[in-house]
Amino acid sequence: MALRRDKRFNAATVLASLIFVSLTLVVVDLNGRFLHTPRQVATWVTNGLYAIVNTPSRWIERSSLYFQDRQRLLDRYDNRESEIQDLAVQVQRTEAIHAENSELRQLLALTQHETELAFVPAELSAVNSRAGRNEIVINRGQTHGVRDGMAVIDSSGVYGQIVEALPYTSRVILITDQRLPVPVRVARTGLNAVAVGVGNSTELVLEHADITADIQVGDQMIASGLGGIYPVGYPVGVVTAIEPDAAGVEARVTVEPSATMHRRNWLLVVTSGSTNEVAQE
Amino acid sequence: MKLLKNNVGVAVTLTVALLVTMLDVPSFLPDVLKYFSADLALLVCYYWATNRPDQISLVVPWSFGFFFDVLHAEPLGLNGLILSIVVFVGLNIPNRSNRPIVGYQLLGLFVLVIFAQITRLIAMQYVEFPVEVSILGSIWSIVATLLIWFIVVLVLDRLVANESANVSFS
Repeated sequence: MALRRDKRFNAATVLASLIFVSLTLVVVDLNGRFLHTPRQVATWVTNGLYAIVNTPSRWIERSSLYFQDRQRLLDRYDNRESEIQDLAVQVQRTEAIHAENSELRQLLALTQHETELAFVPAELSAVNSRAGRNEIVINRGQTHGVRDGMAVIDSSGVYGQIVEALPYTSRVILITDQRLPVPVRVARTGLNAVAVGVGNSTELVLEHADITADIQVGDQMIASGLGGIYPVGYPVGVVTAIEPDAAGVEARVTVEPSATMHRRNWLLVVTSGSTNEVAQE
Repeated sequence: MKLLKNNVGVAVTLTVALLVTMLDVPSFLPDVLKYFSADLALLVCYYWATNRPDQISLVVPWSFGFFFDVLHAEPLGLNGLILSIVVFVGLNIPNRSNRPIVGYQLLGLFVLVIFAQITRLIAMQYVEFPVEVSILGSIWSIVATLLIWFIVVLVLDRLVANESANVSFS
Protein backbone atom coordinates (compact mmCIF):
# COMPACT_ATOMS: atom_id res chain seq x y z
CA MET A 1 0.00 0.00 0.00
CA ALA A 2 2.82 2.35 1.02
CA LEU A 3 4.76 1.30 -2.11
CA ARG A 4 1.75 2.09 -4.33
CA ARG A 5 1.35 5.49 -2.66
CA ASP A 6 5.08 6.13 -3.20
CA LYS A 7 4.79 5.26 -6.90
CA ARG A 8 1.82 7.59 -7.29
CA PHE A 9 3.74 10.36 -5.51
CA ASN A 10 6.70 9.84 -7.85
CA ALA A 11 4.44 9.94 -10.92
CA ALA A 12 2.82 13.15 -9.63
CA THR A 13 6.26 14.72 -9.10
CA VAL A 14 7.40 13.75 -12.61
CA LEU A 15 4.11 15.03 -14.07
CA ALA A 16 4.45 18.35 -12.23
CA SER A 17 7.99 18.74 -13.59
CA LEU A 18 6.89 17.88 -17.14
CA ILE A 19 3.96 20.31 -16.94
CA PHE A 20 6.32 23.04 -15.76
CA VAL A 21 8.84 22.34 -18.57
CA SER A 22 6.06 22.07 -21.19
CA LEU A 23 4.41 25.33 -20.17
CA THR A 24 7.79 27.08 -20.16
CA LEU A 25 8.49 25.75 -23.68
CA VAL A 26 5.03 26.79 -24.92
CA VAL A 27 5.39 30.31 -23.51
CA VAL A 28 8.94 30.70 -24.87
CA ASP A 29 7.89 29.35 -28.29
CA LEU A 30 4.89 31.68 -28.46
CA ASN A 31 6.87 34.75 -27.48
CA GLY A 32 9.99 34.42 -29.55
CA ARG A 33 12.11 32.43 -31.86
CA PHE A 34 14.45 30.92 -29.27
CA LEU A 35 13.35 27.37 -30.08
CA HIS A 36 14.25 27.45 -33.77
CA THR A 37 16.97 24.82 -33.47
CA PRO A 38 14.96 22.10 -31.66
CA ARG A 39 11.99 22.77 -33.95
CA GLN A 40 14.27 22.46 -36.97
CA VAL A 41 15.70 19.15 -35.74
CA ALA A 42 12.21 17.74 -35.15
CA THR A 43 11.13 19.11 -38.55
CA TRP A 44 13.96 17.23 -40.30
CA VAL A 45 12.86 14.00 -38.67
CA THR A 46 9.15 14.47 -39.44
CA ASN A 47 9.85 15.60 -43.02
CA GLY A 48 11.98 12.51 -43.59
CA LEU A 49 9.28 10.27 -42.18
CA TYR A 50 6.62 12.08 -44.21
CA ALA A 51 8.57 11.48 -47.41
CA ILE A 52 8.94 7.76 -46.57
CA VAL A 53 5.30 7.29 -45.57
CA ASN A 54 3.94 8.95 -48.69
CA THR A 55 6.46 7.38 -51.09
CA PRO A 56 4.14 4.48 -52.14
CA SER A 57 1.33 6.84 -53.17
CA ARG A 58 3.81 8.97 -55.13
CA TRP A 59 5.23 5.87 -56.82
CA ILE A 60 1.74 4.78 -57.82
CA GLU A 61 1.11 8.24 -59.24
CA ARG A 62 4.39 8.22 -61.17
CA SER A 63 4.08 4.64 -62.35
CA SER A 64 0.66 5.43 -63.82
CA LEU A 65 2.47 8.00 -65.99
CA TYR A 66 5.21 5.51 -66.85
CA PHE A 67 2.75 2.99 -68.22
CA GLN A 68 0.88 5.43 -70.41
CA ASP A 69 0.90 4.28 -74.02
CA ARG A 70 3.13 5.88 -76.61
CA GLN A 71 0.30 7.43 -78.63
CA ARG A 72 -1.07 9.18 -75.55
CA LEU A 73 2.36 10.60 -74.76
CA LEU A 74 2.76 11.79 -78.38
CA ASP A 75 -0.66 13.44 -78.16
CA ARG A 76 0.38 15.16 -74.94
CA TYR A 77 3.60 16.29 -76.61
CA ASP A 78 1.63 17.76 -79.53
CA ASN A 79 -0.72 19.53 -77.13
CA ARG A 80 2.22 20.98 -75.24
CA GLU A 81 3.73 22.21 -78.52
CA SER A 82 0.54 24.04 -79.44
CA GLU A 83 0.21 25.38 -75.88
CA ILE A 84 3.76 26.77 -76.11
CA GLN A 85 2.86 28.48 -79.40
CA ASP A 86 -0.26 30.00 -77.82
CA LEU A 87 1.68 31.16 -74.78
CA ALA A 88 4.40 32.70 -76.96
CA VAL A 89 1.74 34.74 -78.76
CA GLN A 90 0.19 35.75 -75.43
CA VAL A 91 3.59 36.82 -74.09
CA GLN A 92 4.10 39.03 -77.15
CA ARG A 93 0.71 40.64 -76.59
CA THR A 94 1.35 41.06 -72.86
CA GLU A 95 4.67 42.77 -73.56
CA ALA A 96 2.97 45.16 -75.98
CA ILE A 97 0.25 45.95 -73.40
CA HIS A 98 2.93 46.38 -70.73
CA ALA A 99 4.82 48.88 -72.86
CA GLU A 100 1.62 50.75 -73.66
CA ASN A 101 0.68 50.76 -69.97
CA SER A 102 4.05 52.22 -68.99
CA GLU A 103 3.69 54.92 -71.64
CA LEU A 104 0.20 55.86 -70.40
CA ARG A 105 1.42 56.03 -66.80
CA GLN A 106 4.18 58.37 -67.84
CA LEU A 107 1.65 60.57 -69.63
CA LEU A 108 -0.56 60.60 -66.53
CA ALA A 109 2.45 61.48 -64.32
CA LEU A 110 2.18 58.30 -62.31
CA THR A 111 5.26 56.59 -60.99
CA GLN A 112 5.54 52.89 -60.77
CA HIS A 113 7.91 50.81 -58.80
CA GLU A 114 7.66 47.62 -60.71
CA THR A 115 10.07 44.78 -60.37
CA GLU A 116 10.36 41.46 -62.13
CA LEU A 117 8.99 38.52 -60.19
CA ALA A 118 11.59 36.15 -58.78
CA PHE A 119 10.70 32.67 -57.63
CA VAL A 120 12.11 29.87 -55.54
CA PRO A 121 10.72 26.49 -56.63
CA ALA A 122 9.64 24.37 -53.67
CA GLU A 123 8.22 20.92 -53.09
CA LEU A 124 5.45 20.03 -50.68
CA SER A 125 6.94 18.24 -47.65
CA ALA A 126 4.00 17.74 -45.30
CA VAL A 127 0.30 18.52 -44.88
CA ASN A 128 -1.16 19.51 -41.52
CA SER A 129 -3.95 17.03 -40.89
CA ARG A 130 -5.45 18.79 -37.87
CA ALA A 131 -9.12 19.58 -38.58
CA GLY A 132 -9.86 23.09 -39.81
CA ARG A 133 -6.25 24.01 -40.54
CA ASN A 134 -5.17 24.41 -44.12
CA GLU A 135 -1.42 24.36 -43.73
CA ILE A 136 1.45 22.69 -45.50
CA VAL A 137 5.22 22.53 -45.11
CA ILE A 138 7.54 23.10 -48.07
CA ASN A 139 11.16 22.04 -48.47
CA ARG A 140 12.60 25.54 -48.88
CA GLY A 141 13.54 27.90 -46.06
CA GLN A 142 15.66 30.87 -45.04
CA THR A 143 18.82 29.44 -46.59
CA HIS A 144 17.06 29.51 -49.99
CA GLY A 145 15.92 33.12 -49.55
CA VAL A 146 12.44 32.37 -48.22
CA ARG A 147 11.14 34.82 -45.60
CA ASP A 148 8.00 35.18 -43.49
CA GLY A 149 5.12 36.82 -45.36
CA MET A 150 6.17 35.83 -48.89
CA ALA A 151 3.48 34.68 -51.31
CA VAL A 152 3.30 31.10 -52.58
CA ILE A 153 1.75 30.36 -55.98
CA ASP A 154 1.39 27.38 -58.27
CA SER A 155 1.06 27.31 -62.03
CA SER A 156 -2.70 27.94 -61.81
CA GLY A 157 -3.06 30.63 -59.16
CA VAL A 158 -2.32 32.08 -55.73
CA TYR A 159 -1.71 29.27 -53.23
CA GLY A 160 -0.88 30.75 -49.83
CA GLN A 161 1.56 32.68 -47.68
CA ILE A 162 4.70 31.77 -45.74
CA VAL A 163 4.00 32.17 -42.04
CA GLU A 164 7.13 30.61 -40.62
CA ALA A 165 10.39 30.35 -42.53
CA LEU A 166 12.82 27.97 -40.82
CA PRO A 167 16.40 27.44 -42.09
CA TYR A 168 15.52 24.59 -44.48
CA THR A 169 11.72 24.35 -44.48
CA SER A 170 8.79 26.75 -44.29
CA ARG A 171 5.21 26.60 -43.09
CA VAL A 172 2.58 27.85 -45.51
CA ILE A 173 -1.01 28.81 -44.72
CA LEU A 174 -3.23 28.20 -47.74
CA ILE A 175 -5.60 30.87 -49.03
CA THR A 176 -8.47 28.51 -48.17
CA ASP A 177 -7.63 28.81 -44.45
CA GLN A 178 -10.01 30.97 -42.44
CA ARG A 179 -7.10 32.96 -41.00
CA LEU A 180 -5.73 34.34 -44.26
CA PRO A 181 -7.57 37.20 -46.01
CA VAL A 182 -6.58 37.72 -49.64
CA PRO A 183 -7.10 41.15 -51.26
CA VAL A 184 -8.71 40.44 -54.63
CA ARG A 185 -10.11 42.32 -57.60
CA VAL A 186 -12.82 41.36 -60.04
CA ALA A 187 -10.91 41.18 -63.33
CA ARG A 188 -13.94 42.30 -65.37
CA THR A 189 -14.86 45.40 -63.36
CA GLY A 190 -11.85 46.21 -61.19
CA LEU A 191 -13.95 46.00 -58.02
CA ASN A 192 -11.79 45.39 -54.93
CA ALA A 193 -12.78 42.90 -52.23
CA VAL A 194 -11.30 40.59 -49.63
CA ALA A 195 -11.57 36.81 -50.02
CA VAL A 196 -11.24 34.47 -47.05
CA GLY A 197 -11.32 30.71 -46.68
CA VAL A 198 -14.09 28.79 -45.02
CA GLY A 199 -11.98 25.86 -43.85
CA ASN A 200 -12.26 23.48 -46.77
CA SER A 201 -9.95 23.38 -49.75
CA THR A 202 -12.58 23.98 -52.42
CA GLU A 203 -13.90 27.46 -51.70
CA LEU A 204 -13.27 31.01 -50.59
CA VAL A 205 -15.91 33.64 -49.85
CA LEU A 206 -15.90 37.40 -50.38
CA GLU A 207 -16.40 39.24 -47.12
CA HIS A 208 -19.21 41.81 -46.93
CA ALA A 209 -19.97 41.90 -50.64
CA ASP A 210 -22.66 44.44 -51.42
CA ILE A 211 -25.76 42.91 -53.00
CA THR A 212 -25.63 45.58 -55.70
CA ALA A 213 -21.94 45.01 -56.49
CA ASP A 214 -21.20 44.16 -60.10
CA ILE A 215 -20.12 40.57 -59.61
CA GLN A 216 -21.35 37.68 -61.74
CA VAL A 217 -20.98 33.93 -61.62
CA GLY A 218 -17.94 33.05 -63.75
CA ASP A 219 -16.06 36.28 -62.95
CA GLN A 220 -12.32 35.81 -62.62
CA MET A 221 -10.90 37.07 -59.29
CA ILE A 222 -7.28 38.22 -59.41
CA ALA A 223 -4.87 39.41 -56.71
CA SER A 224 -5.29 43.16 -56.27
CA GLY A 225 -1.81 43.64 -54.85
CA LEU A 226 -3.14 45.65 -51.90
CA GLY A 227 -1.10 44.71 -48.86
CA GLY A 228 1.88 44.02 -51.09
CA ILE A 229 1.99 40.26 -50.66
CA TYR A 230 0.51 38.58 -53.72
CA PRO A 231 1.59 39.26 -57.32
CA VAL A 232 -0.79 41.75 -58.90
CA GLY A 233 -3.11 40.25 -61.47
CA TYR A 234 -2.32 36.64 -60.65
CA PRO A 235 -5.48 34.46 -60.63
CA VAL A 236 -7.06 33.72 -57.25
CA GLY A 237 -10.27 32.00 -58.31
CA VAL A 238 -13.54 32.03 -60.20
CA VAL A 239 -16.94 33.08 -58.79
CA THR A 240 -19.15 29.99 -58.59
CA ALA A 241 -22.18 31.22 -56.61
CA ILE A 242 -23.79 34.42 -55.33
CA GLU A 243 -26.37 34.07 -52.56
CA PRO A 244 -28.07 37.11 -50.95
CA ASP A 245 -28.28 37.11 -47.15
CA ALA A 246 -31.61 37.11 -45.25
CA ALA A 247 -31.61 40.90 -44.89
CA GLY A 248 -30.97 41.35 -48.61
CA VAL A 249 -28.16 43.84 -47.98
CA GLU A 250 -25.07 41.71 -48.45
CA ALA A 251 -24.34 38.68 -50.59
CA ARG A 252 -22.23 35.61 -49.98
CA VAL A 253 -20.00 35.26 -53.00
CA THR A 254 -18.36 31.87 -53.31
CA VAL A 255 -15.08 31.61 -55.20
CA GLU A 256 -13.44 28.39 -56.35
CA PRO A 257 -9.65 28.72 -55.98
CA SER A 258 -7.63 28.56 -59.19
CA ALA A 259 -4.69 26.87 -57.46
CA THR A 260 -4.83 23.13 -56.89
CA MET A 261 -4.95 22.96 -53.11
CA HIS A 262 -3.23 19.99 -51.38
CA ARG A 263 -2.88 18.17 -54.69
CA ARG A 264 0.14 20.00 -56.00
CA ASN A 265 3.66 18.83 -55.26
CA TRP A 266 5.54 21.70 -56.90
CA LEU A 267 5.04 25.31 -55.87
CA LEU A 268 6.75 28.67 -56.33
CA VAL A 269 7.66 31.07 -53.54
CA VAL A 270 7.58 34.66 -54.78
CA THR A 271 10.79 36.07 -53.34
CA SER A 272 10.67 39.53 -54.91
CA GLY A 273 8.48 41.79 -56.97
CA SER A 274 5.20 40.73 -55.44
CA THR A 275 4.20 44.34 -54.98
CA ASN A 276 3.40 46.67 -57.81
CA GLU A 277 3.05 49.91 -55.96
CA VAL A 278 1.60 52.82 -57.84
CA ALA A 279 1.80 56.21 -56.24
CA GLN A 280 0.62 59.51 -57.55
CA GLU A 281 3.30 62.12 -57.56
CA MET B 1 11.97 -7.49 -30.25
CA LYS B 2 10.23 -7.53 -26.89
CA LEU B 3 7.52 -4.91 -27.10
CA LEU B 4 6.58 -5.32 -23.47
CA LYS B 5 9.82 -4.02 -22.10
CA ASN B 6 11.02 -0.60 -21.02
CA ASN B 7 8.56 1.51 -23.01
CA VAL B 8 9.52 -0.21 -26.29
CA GLY B 9 5.88 -0.98 -27.06
CA VAL B 10 4.87 2.59 -26.30
CA ALA B 11 7.63 4.00 -28.51
CA VAL B 12 6.84 1.63 -31.39
CA THR B 13 3.09 2.26 -31.30
CA LEU B 14 3.58 6.03 -30.96
CA THR B 15 5.87 5.93 -34.02
CA VAL B 16 3.18 4.03 -35.94
CA ALA B 17 0.60 6.61 -34.77
CA LEU B 18 2.91 9.39 -36.03
CA LEU B 19 3.28 7.68 -39.43
CA VAL B 20 -0.46 7.07 -39.79
CA THR B 21 -1.15 10.70 -38.88
CA MET B 22 1.24 11.75 -41.67
CA LEU B 23 -0.60 9.84 -44.38
CA ASP B 24 -2.22 12.16 -46.92
CA VAL B 25 -5.96 11.89 -47.51
CA PRO B 26 -6.19 10.33 -51.02
CA SER B 27 -7.42 12.80 -53.62
CA PHE B 28 -10.45 10.67 -54.57
CA LEU B 29 -11.91 10.87 -51.05
CA PRO B 30 -14.24 13.77 -50.11
CA ASP B 31 -12.73 16.83 -48.47
CA VAL B 32 -14.98 16.50 -45.41
CA LEU B 33 -12.97 13.45 -44.30
CA LYS B 34 -10.18 15.80 -43.23
CA TYR B 35 -12.35 16.84 -40.28
CA PHE B 36 -12.68 13.21 -39.25
CA SER B 37 -9.16 13.12 -37.82
CA ALA B 38 -8.64 11.05 -34.70
CA ASP B 39 -6.00 11.90 -32.11
CA LEU B 40 -4.07 8.63 -32.46
CA ALA B 41 -1.21 9.61 -30.13
CA LEU B 42 -3.68 10.30 -27.33
CA LEU B 43 -5.41 6.94 -27.90
CA VAL B 44 -2.15 5.00 -27.90
CA CYS B 45 -0.96 6.65 -24.69
CA TYR B 46 -4.33 6.12 -23.03
CA TYR B 47 -4.35 2.46 -24.04
CA TRP B 48 -0.92 1.74 -22.54
CA ALA B 49 -1.66 3.75 -19.39
CA THR B 50 -4.97 2.02 -18.71
CA ASN B 51 -4.08 -1.50 -19.84
CA ARG B 52 -0.32 -1.91 -19.31
CA PRO B 53 0.52 0.72 -16.69
CA ASP B 54 3.76 -1.10 -15.85
CA GLN B 55 5.01 -0.60 -19.46
CA ILE B 56 4.65 3.17 -19.79
CA SER B 57 6.45 6.10 -18.27
CA LEU B 58 5.52 9.76 -18.50
CA VAL B 59 8.71 10.86 -20.21
CA VAL B 60 8.47 8.80 -23.43
CA PRO B 61 5.03 10.14 -24.55
CA TRP B 62 6.16 13.62 -23.50
CA SER B 63 9.24 13.33 -25.77
CA PHE B 64 7.13 12.09 -28.70
CA GLY B 65 4.97 15.17 -28.24
CA PHE B 66 7.67 17.27 -29.95
CA PHE B 67 7.19 15.45 -33.24
CA PHE B 68 3.43 15.98 -33.09
CA ASP B 69 4.05 19.67 -32.26
CA VAL B 70 6.13 20.04 -35.41
CA LEU B 71 3.78 17.97 -37.55
CA HIS B 72 0.77 20.08 -36.62
CA ALA B 73 2.71 23.37 -36.35
CA GLU B 74 1.73 23.83 -32.71
CA PRO B 75 3.83 25.45 -29.98
CA LEU B 76 6.66 23.18 -28.82
CA GLY B 77 5.72 21.37 -25.62
CA LEU B 78 1.96 21.49 -26.17
CA ASN B 79 1.44 17.87 -27.22
CA GLY B 80 3.96 16.69 -24.63
CA LEU B 81 1.90 18.45 -21.97
CA ILE B 82 -1.34 16.86 -23.21
CA LEU B 83 0.11 13.35 -23.59
CA SER B 84 1.78 13.32 -20.16
CA ILE B 85 -1.50 14.40 -18.51
CA VAL B 86 -3.37 11.71 -20.49
CA VAL B 87 -0.90 9.08 -19.28
CA PHE B 88 -1.14 10.26 -15.67
CA VAL B 89 -4.95 10.17 -15.70
CA GLY B 90 -4.88 6.80 -17.48
CA LEU B 91 -2.54 5.38 -14.85
CA ASN B 92 -5.08 6.30 -12.20
CA ILE B 93 -8.03 4.63 -13.92
CA PRO B 94 -8.54 0.95 -13.03
CA ASN B 95 -7.57 -1.48 -15.80
CA ARG B 96 -10.01 -3.39 -17.97
CA SER B 97 -9.72 -6.76 -16.24
CA ASN B 98 -13.05 -5.93 -14.63
CA ARG B 99 -15.55 -5.61 -17.51
CA PRO B 100 -17.89 -2.95 -15.99
CA ILE B 101 -14.89 -0.65 -15.84
CA VAL B 102 -14.78 -0.38 -19.68
CA GLY B 103 -17.53 2.26 -19.60
CA TYR B 104 -15.63 4.06 -16.86
CA GLN B 105 -12.54 4.12 -19.11
CA LEU B 106 -14.54 5.44 -22.05
CA LEU B 107 -15.84 8.25 -19.86
CA GLY B 108 -12.25 9.04 -18.84
CA LEU B 109 -11.22 9.06 -22.51
CA PHE B 110 -14.13 11.35 -23.41
CA VAL B 111 -13.08 13.86 -20.74
CA LEU B 112 -9.43 13.69 -21.86
CA VAL B 113 -10.26 14.18 -25.55
CA ILE B 114 -12.29 17.28 -24.70
CA PHE B 115 -9.47 18.50 -22.45
CA ALA B 116 -6.98 18.01 -25.32
CA GLN B 117 -9.19 19.89 -27.80
CA ILE B 118 -9.73 22.82 -25.44
CA THR B 119 -6.04 23.01 -24.49
CA ARG B 120 -5.04 23.08 -28.18
CA LEU B 121 -7.63 25.70 -29.06
CA ILE B 122 -6.51 27.94 -26.19
CA ALA B 123 -2.83 27.60 -27.13
CA MET B 124 -3.58 28.24 -30.81
CA GLN B 125 -5.22 31.55 -29.95
CA TYR B 126 -1.79 32.95 -29.05
CA VAL B 127 0.12 31.95 -32.19
CA GLU B 128 0.86 34.46 -34.94
CA PHE B 129 -2.15 33.33 -36.98
CA PRO B 130 -4.76 32.30 -34.37
CA VAL B 131 -6.90 29.32 -35.30
CA GLU B 132 -10.62 30.09 -35.50
CA VAL B 133 -12.72 27.95 -33.19
CA SER B 134 -14.71 25.52 -35.31
CA ILE B 135 -17.34 23.84 -33.11
CA LEU B 136 -18.28 21.41 -35.86
CA GLY B 137 -14.63 20.55 -36.56
CA SER B 138 -13.98 19.98 -32.85
CA ILE B 139 -17.05 17.75 -32.47
CA TRP B 140 -16.00 15.70 -35.52
CA SER B 141 -12.51 15.24 -34.08
CA ILE B 142 -13.88 14.14 -30.69
CA VAL B 143 -16.32 11.69 -32.31
CA ALA B 144 -13.57 10.32 -34.59
CA THR B 145 -11.20 9.82 -31.65
CA LEU B 146 -13.85 8.00 -29.60
CA LEU B 147 -14.78 5.75 -32.53
CA ILE B 148 -11.19 4.93 -33.44
CA TRP B 149 -10.59 3.99 -29.76
CA PHE B 150 -12.34 0.66 -30.33
CA ILE B 151 -10.08 -0.12 -33.29
CA VAL B 152 -6.98 0.87 -31.32
CA VAL B 153 -8.05 -1.39 -28.44
CA LEU B 154 -8.69 -4.27 -30.83
CA VAL B 155 -5.32 -3.96 -32.56
CA LEU B 156 -3.21 -3.32 -29.46
CA ASP B 157 -4.99 -6.04 -27.45
CA ARG B 158 -3.96 -8.56 -30.12
CA LEU B 159 -0.42 -7.22 -30.26
CA VAL B 160 0.00 -7.29 -26.49
CA ALA B 161 -1.60 -10.75 -26.25
CA ASN B 162 0.87 -12.11 -28.84
CA GLU B 163 3.81 -10.51 -27.06
CA SER B 164 2.66 -11.87 -23.66
CA ALA B 165 2.46 -15.36 -25.16
CA ASN B 166 6.06 -15.03 -26.36
CA VAL B 167 7.49 -13.98 -23.00
CA SER B 168 9.92 -16.58 -21.67
CA PHE B 169 11.15 -16.80 -18.11
CA SER B 170 14.46 -18.40 -18.92
